Amino acid sequence: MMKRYLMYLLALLLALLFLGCTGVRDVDTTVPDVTTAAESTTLSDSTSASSSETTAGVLVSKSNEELIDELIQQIKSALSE
Amino acid sequence: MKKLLLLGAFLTCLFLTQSLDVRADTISYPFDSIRIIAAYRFDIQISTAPNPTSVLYDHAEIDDILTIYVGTLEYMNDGEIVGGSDSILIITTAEDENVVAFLVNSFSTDLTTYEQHSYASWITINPEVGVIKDFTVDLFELTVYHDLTLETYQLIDNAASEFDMMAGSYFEETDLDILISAFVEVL
Repeated sequence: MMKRYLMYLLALLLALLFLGCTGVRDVDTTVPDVTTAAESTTLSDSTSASSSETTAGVLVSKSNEELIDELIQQIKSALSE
Repeated sequence: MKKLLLLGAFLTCLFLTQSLDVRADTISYPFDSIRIIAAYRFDIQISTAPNPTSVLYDHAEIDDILTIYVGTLEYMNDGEIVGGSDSILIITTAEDENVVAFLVNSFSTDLTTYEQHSYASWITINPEVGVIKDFTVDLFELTVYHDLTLETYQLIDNAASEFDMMAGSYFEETDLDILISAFVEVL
């Protein structure tokens, strides 16, 4: 009886370990990795001339202020007659 | 009986594991670029002196004309839209000084007579996380009210003062496709 109980417990722990690992992996993929973003940019870049520069540099996310400034410029420019 | 208990414990753990995943996905939607898909602008004339608590107070006086810009945005990640659409409000003076640039905080409409967007100073964006509420800044909220029957707009400042759109000043671009990268390369 005790042996069967331990078997159930072991199966439960293995199942939780598997699900836990899967869960952690899913959460990690939602957070962009700067290195991964740099690699994907290099791959999707059709201009081969810039690829060496891209691999040499590091992509850094822009700040809130930098993005807002760019949005302001682009929206004003698009609406200028 | 023990089998039932074990089965119950297993299902509970499974449910909790899945719930954590959903919650993590909800609070984090990173993006690698922002697409501007539409924008409009209109002018308002300051008809009453701005309240000292208004964000307009130090930037406009009676009879001054301010330009209101509104852009509709989409956050993109690997070519896919993430986090739904967003909107930005920009207010500039006649001298092209930017008074505010706030992202949308809330939206309401009755679908027939009006719709309004509220833009708040505490809404910020971080490409690695998504939209973040930063309550450490000065807290201001402005509203753009759109009368759907009269096709007019109104700006309501944080002091609840209302400023009507000047007739004939409305201009829009509904088919924009401007992509802004959220990352910059550092050598």
